[in-house]
Amino acid sequence: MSKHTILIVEDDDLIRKFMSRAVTDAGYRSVLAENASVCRMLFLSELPDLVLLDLGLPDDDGLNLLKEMKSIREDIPVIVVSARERENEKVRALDMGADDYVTKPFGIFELMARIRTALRHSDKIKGQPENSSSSVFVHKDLVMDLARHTVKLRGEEIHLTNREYRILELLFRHKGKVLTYSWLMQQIWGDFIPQDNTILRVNMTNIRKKLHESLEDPVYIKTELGVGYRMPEDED
Amino acid sequence: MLKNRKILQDLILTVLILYLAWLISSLLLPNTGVENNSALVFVLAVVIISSLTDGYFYGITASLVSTVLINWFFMYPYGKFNISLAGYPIAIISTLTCALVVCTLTARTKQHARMAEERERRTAELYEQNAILEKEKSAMELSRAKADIRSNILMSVSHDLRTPLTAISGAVSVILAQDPKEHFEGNLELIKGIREQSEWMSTLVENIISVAKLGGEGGELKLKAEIPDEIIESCVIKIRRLFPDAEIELDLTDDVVPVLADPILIRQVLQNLLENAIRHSQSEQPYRIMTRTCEKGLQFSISDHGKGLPGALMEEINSGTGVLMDTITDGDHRRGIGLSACQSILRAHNSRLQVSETAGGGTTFSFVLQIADIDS
Repeated sequence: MSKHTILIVEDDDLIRKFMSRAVTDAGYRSVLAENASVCRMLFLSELPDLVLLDLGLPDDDGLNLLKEMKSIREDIPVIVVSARERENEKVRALDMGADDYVTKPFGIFELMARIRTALRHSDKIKGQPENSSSSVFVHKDLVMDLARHTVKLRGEEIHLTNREYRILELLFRHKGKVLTYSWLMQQIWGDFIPQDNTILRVNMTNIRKKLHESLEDPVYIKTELGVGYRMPEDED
Repeated sequence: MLKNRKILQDLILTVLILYLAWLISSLLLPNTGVENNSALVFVLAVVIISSLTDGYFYGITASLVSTVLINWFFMYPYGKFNISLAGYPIAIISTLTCALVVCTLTARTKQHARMAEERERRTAELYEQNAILEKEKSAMELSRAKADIRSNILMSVSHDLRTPLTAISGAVSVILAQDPKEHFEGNLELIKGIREQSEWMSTLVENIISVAKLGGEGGELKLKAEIPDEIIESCVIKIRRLFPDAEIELDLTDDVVPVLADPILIRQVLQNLLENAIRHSQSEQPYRIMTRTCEKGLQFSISDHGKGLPGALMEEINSGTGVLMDTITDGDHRRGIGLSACQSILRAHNSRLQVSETAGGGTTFSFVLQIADIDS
């Protein structure tokens, strides 16, 4: 398989350089953009496999850029790089289709793990025909069988309510990806979304209790505080 | 408009009462003859008129008209004016005097009433203004206190930033000046130091952002129902990354108890308290995070089994008055705004930081968050 190309969009020179070093050291090809207009150009000419997008750019709103790139190539994985002061922007970016996020300051190991996950995810989707949705999901000791409508942990059946079952199915289907509260609520309640997300979160907590999830090291469902939930990829 | 109506009213009243007096006197006259009481009836009429109308005009007019009427109708010879009558000037003067006295009294009473009313209005106004002033005064005091806290934090922050910055830039200069092959081992140590210092700065900046968020233009925090377990999970994972060797024990309520909180800020509180414990307490045993429901809500406590805090500092924290600066130090003489950031954050949650001794030695920090109602 050829080298993946990663487009790094970041206005700070030093951060862009160290991200580029880390990406090339890990065996990817890096393409660098310091602002939105260069990003637009390179996005079309270099056909990157993944975009690392800083939301605070000098010449345009990073969210606009995200929307444009997703409208040109829906399946392009985008990892948003955000600052703590811009918590809301991060959630909006995820709602607008960003695949993942890292918050500054981030460690390079964390960034590389996110890149690997996002790339693996998009390669898998590309490699599969659309309708080959397998009916059995497996993650660590957890097995979800859609055909039989069962969930088993270490071979023992776990009883979930209908809503809990659907939440778990969504997490499995989008393994590795952060699912925001609003996205999950939209999926589960459709047009009848409750005012606040407490019910969803109580459901989620109950699922996690049924899975005997440890808070210190959750393996099935991880909390992304203030954002949503994620089922971790097998690797991390 | 209103004034005209009052004049008309007074006029009609005057005419009506005078007519009534004339009528009564006419009825009395055939029965009493010369010795009639018409003068008294008219004096009564003048008194009534004077007291019911505004000012002197109606009273005086009525008294003059009365004397004429008495003379014409009820004094011998009837139907004629006779000014030479002995009692007549006395009758004029007495009715006139009556009118004047009563008018003056009435006017004075009315003025008193008006003055009393005015006084009452002024008192109310004064009271209102006083209340406004009080409010402004307390707002000013509050903002002064806030400004004090902020300037203290700024002082502490600049000190705290300068130290690691000096260390980082110094270390980098040393590394750049040396031959990297010759000094590899030494450089590695310096580079590790740089990472440590920058991590410290990163925590500090987190706290600054939290405090800035509290003092921001947006005003009040929007507290939402949050699951405490999620906040604790997120905090523990963060601490694990910073201190891989720290042992942390969790002891949480079995039930899901949503609390009203800003999750990121409460995580910051937990993280600051845990970091303090790990860095400064020299605790041998695991650190513990516990949640329990209590009367006022859900109590979070973070405890260590370390060397404990000095009594004065514990008092300062519990009283919630002190600006917790310069108090917790470690070997590097770093000060940190961790505790004061905790206090600010908790205050914005209508809560406060409490500290006590852990059973068997050590320090336990705790705070209570309000439980959120949920409509399932």
